[in-house]
Amino acid sequence: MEFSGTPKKYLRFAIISSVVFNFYLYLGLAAVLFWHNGATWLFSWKPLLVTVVFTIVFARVNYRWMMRLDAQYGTGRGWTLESRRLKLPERAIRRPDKN
Amino acid sequence: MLEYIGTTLAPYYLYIKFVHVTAALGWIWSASTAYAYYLLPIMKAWRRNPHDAEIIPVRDWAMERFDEVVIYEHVFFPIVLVTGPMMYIAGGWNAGVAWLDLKLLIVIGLFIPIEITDYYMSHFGGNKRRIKASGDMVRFERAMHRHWWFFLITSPAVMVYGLLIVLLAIAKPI
Repeated sequence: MEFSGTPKKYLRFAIISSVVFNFYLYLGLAAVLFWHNGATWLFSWKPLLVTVVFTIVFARVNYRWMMRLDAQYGTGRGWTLESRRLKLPERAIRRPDKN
Repeated sequence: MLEYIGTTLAPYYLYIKFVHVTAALGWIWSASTAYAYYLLPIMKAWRRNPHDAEIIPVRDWAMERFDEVVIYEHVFFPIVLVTGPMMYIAGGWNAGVAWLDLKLLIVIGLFIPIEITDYYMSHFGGNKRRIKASGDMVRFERAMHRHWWFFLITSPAVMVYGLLIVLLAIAKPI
């Protein structure tokens, strides 16, 4: 069974999740503060600009991070793969007592 | 009722905070070393050599062990969730505090859904050891892939927003 992750899917996920989540935070915070304090400073252009910039930066960081985790970047030369004969400790499956 | 709870808990605020901060640090960091230095090198080796018959058993073993590595994390998380509201009430906090609102929005919108999924995949229906014991190796492989997808899509957000909530709680920048 092939793993279904691809760079295209990672890019799509990084962009959509960054936009959705950061605007959820912005709108949620603006709504709560407006509802509770009547505060309107979050509706000015500066907080909106911070949200847009953070969304773009996080989408890029998110995509590159996923690519690095999934070994799509780099050669893996920092590690060597060595064959060994070994025993792996496995948890014993506990069966319920019949008594 | 809330006033009564607040008055009762208020003298213990700093002790509740001690438990909350200790549990939050345990929740954030307890699995990080095993993840970074044991699981990741193996998963990357698998992704570079997806059909290597010697890597796949190690991948399976590491992921099965990781289902247990997160036990501490999953004990600490409910403690954070219980002590957080206790501090909120005891400290007389309200929804007009921006740093706290942002922190709670991150916890509710990101970390609670992630942890619910993680509980399921590590200890309940997605537990790899139990799936393997059932003998259904197609389901086992699918669970393995799903868990790797989970790590791929959550790791960046967990690191960035996890650090952000610690920053918000300590520096209170807004």
